[in-house]
Amino acid sequence: MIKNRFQYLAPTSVEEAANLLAASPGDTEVIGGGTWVVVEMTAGDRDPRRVIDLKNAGLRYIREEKGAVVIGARATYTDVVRSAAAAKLPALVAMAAGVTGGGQLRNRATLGGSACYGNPSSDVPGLLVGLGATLTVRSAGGTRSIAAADFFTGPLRTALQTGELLESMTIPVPAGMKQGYYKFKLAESSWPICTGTALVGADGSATVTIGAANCRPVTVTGSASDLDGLARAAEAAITSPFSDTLADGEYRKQIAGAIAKRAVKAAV
Amino acid sequence: MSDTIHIELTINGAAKSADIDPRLLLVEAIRDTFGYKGTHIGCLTGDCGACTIELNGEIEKSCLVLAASADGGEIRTIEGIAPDDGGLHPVQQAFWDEYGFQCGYCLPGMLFAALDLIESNPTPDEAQIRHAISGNYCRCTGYNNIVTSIQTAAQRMAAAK
Repeated sequence: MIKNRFQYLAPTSVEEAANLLAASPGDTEVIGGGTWVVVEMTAGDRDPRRVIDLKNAGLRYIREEKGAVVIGARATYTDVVRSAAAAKLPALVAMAAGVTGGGQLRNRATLGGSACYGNPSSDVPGLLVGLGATLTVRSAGGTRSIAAADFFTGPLRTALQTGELLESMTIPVPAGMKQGYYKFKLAESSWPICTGTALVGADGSATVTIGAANCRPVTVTGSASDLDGLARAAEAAITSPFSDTLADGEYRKQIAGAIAKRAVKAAV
Repeated sequence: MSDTIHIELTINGAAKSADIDPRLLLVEAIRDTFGYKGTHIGCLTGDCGACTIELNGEIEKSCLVLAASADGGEIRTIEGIAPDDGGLHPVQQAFWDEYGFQCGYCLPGMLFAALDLIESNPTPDEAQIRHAISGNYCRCTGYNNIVTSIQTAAQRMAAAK
């Protein structure tokens, strides 16, 4: 059992959730699926006095809106895999289907939670940056939008301010471009070591975002017909390599070029 | 701050309710509040899968869920897998026949992962089986007999249809 007492709150709207958060933002945790926060509370690494569970807040949706796919903060990876709207984004679906932890994890964990956690060595930050997503965050004062490239500010750090919670992620459907997602990991149960999200235009122009290798996702542009050039650019872009127990940052940097190539080849 | 929260659940078809401490994890409620000890606590980090149950028709790791979050849910535990006649479910029988477990600690989670796979894919190949059990650790078998067990279960279930 979690060590210290807290109050459990399950607001029935995102506005109510934001107001509850505003009442005492410094000692409140917000949970979507809870797969990070609950574990860290069990381990004693987080010690909130109040927990806001978004399960009833109406944020479990995936819908198409004006040429974009909008994903509510409480949508799970499995929701993405099964969603007709998300099928417009094959790179997103490939990412969601391959998230480590088994079907049990994908049935509970949310893209929104992973975004808020901001672990460099995970799928979601690189994917959201790679597809040019915008994150909508809410506080008691209203909402604001943050480009994914600005949202992930460093390892386990995001642009989310105290008193703000994630409401949704909006991913534009890249018209006329092929999308690819490639993940490299060293074991079936491993976190990603390096990921690539590729957008390839009809003219062969390619944009690749490398995730999990750098403290923040990095994006490079080039040509699908010059994969070696793209690979060199990807490796050079890794200026703050991310290390954890699974892989050293220098190793991640060395493979970033190969992963960029594979992401372009995965684009269909 | 209220000390307890009232939850109502269905476990293996039986209505259950309790006033629980919000700090209680779902796996702790299932085992200690409601007495279904077949659901195991392994890592408490969401890695090992020993606490896998079915919640509202989807398999989940019950150590990752606050019991309060599961209020109103329909749960199936390992005790709810076998038929009422005292026999084993075909997936359980296949694990028994193929030596798919040794100490048995991971078994409830492996069985739910196997059931979940076969339900959506009645003829899984080895790679699909290994992906399906990637959220479950076994420290005895080396996994080969588990893969064989799931293949056998799928074949028998397909043949019985």
